Amino acid sequence: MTGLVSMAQQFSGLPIKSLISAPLNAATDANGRMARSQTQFMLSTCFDKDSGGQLTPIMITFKMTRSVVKPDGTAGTPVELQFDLPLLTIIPLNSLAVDDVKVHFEMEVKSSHSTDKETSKEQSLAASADITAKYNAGLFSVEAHASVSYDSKSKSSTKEHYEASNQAKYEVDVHAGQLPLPKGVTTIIDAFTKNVAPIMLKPESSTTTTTTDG
Amino acid sequence: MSFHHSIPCPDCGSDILIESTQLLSGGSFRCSNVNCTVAISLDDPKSVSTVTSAFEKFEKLKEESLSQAQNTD
Repeated sequence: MTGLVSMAQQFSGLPIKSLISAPLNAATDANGRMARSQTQFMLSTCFDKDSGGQLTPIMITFKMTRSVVKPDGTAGTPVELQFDLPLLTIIPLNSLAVDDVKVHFEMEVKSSHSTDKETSKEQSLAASADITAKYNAGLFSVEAHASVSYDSKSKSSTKEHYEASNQAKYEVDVHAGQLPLPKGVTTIIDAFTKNVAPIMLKPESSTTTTTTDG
Repeated sequence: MSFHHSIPCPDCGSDILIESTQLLSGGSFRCSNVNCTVAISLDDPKSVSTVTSAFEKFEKLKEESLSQAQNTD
């Protein structure tokens, strides 16, 4: 039908590349900004910088309490031990970043065409004639009657209906979540974390030397 | 806003789950493996103020990051 729009033509001019790449580029930029701000936070908050530019982790003091059970089974005085922990290890530094970008694009092109053509022909023409003829010829007489009638009606009507609609919807969903920390940062935190355990000094063993003669 | 995080047990190395608000109010956290508890030392005011300041900065950073992400679209 010639009245319908071409669907392929409707979609051919769409900037699909821009529609998809623009939100992804924006998310990448946002991730870069977030990573930079978190790195700055980590360096400025969790480390002290000396005059030589050397970074020293800021330590905080924790205490550990252990209950003691005496040999006779009764509870002894709990033992309290203080230990230092790098501040870096108690802050949940996870890389906040855009981890999900959804681009929804809906476009609806509706086109409908209908033609209602109604043609009825009705002609009305009426004509009538009565003809009477009489002829007398001696003994004979002829009389003829004729009647002619014609009736015709004409009527014409045309209905045409055309409908078209366009609809477009563009949605971008962005979700920020926590991504795993880079391997380097994890290694640093692990190194600090492993050093939380106090170094237990063994009591000096008393060595006795015995000499046997003979 | 509070944070949940884990620190290693100084005794056995297993994770002890800590919560920032409780930690700053002097709460102690028990190791599920060995019978010991850990807490921030309230005897050291500098540690408490350092952690409080760090948590506040971290919260602000998180809010800024989230708003940046939401403004991406």
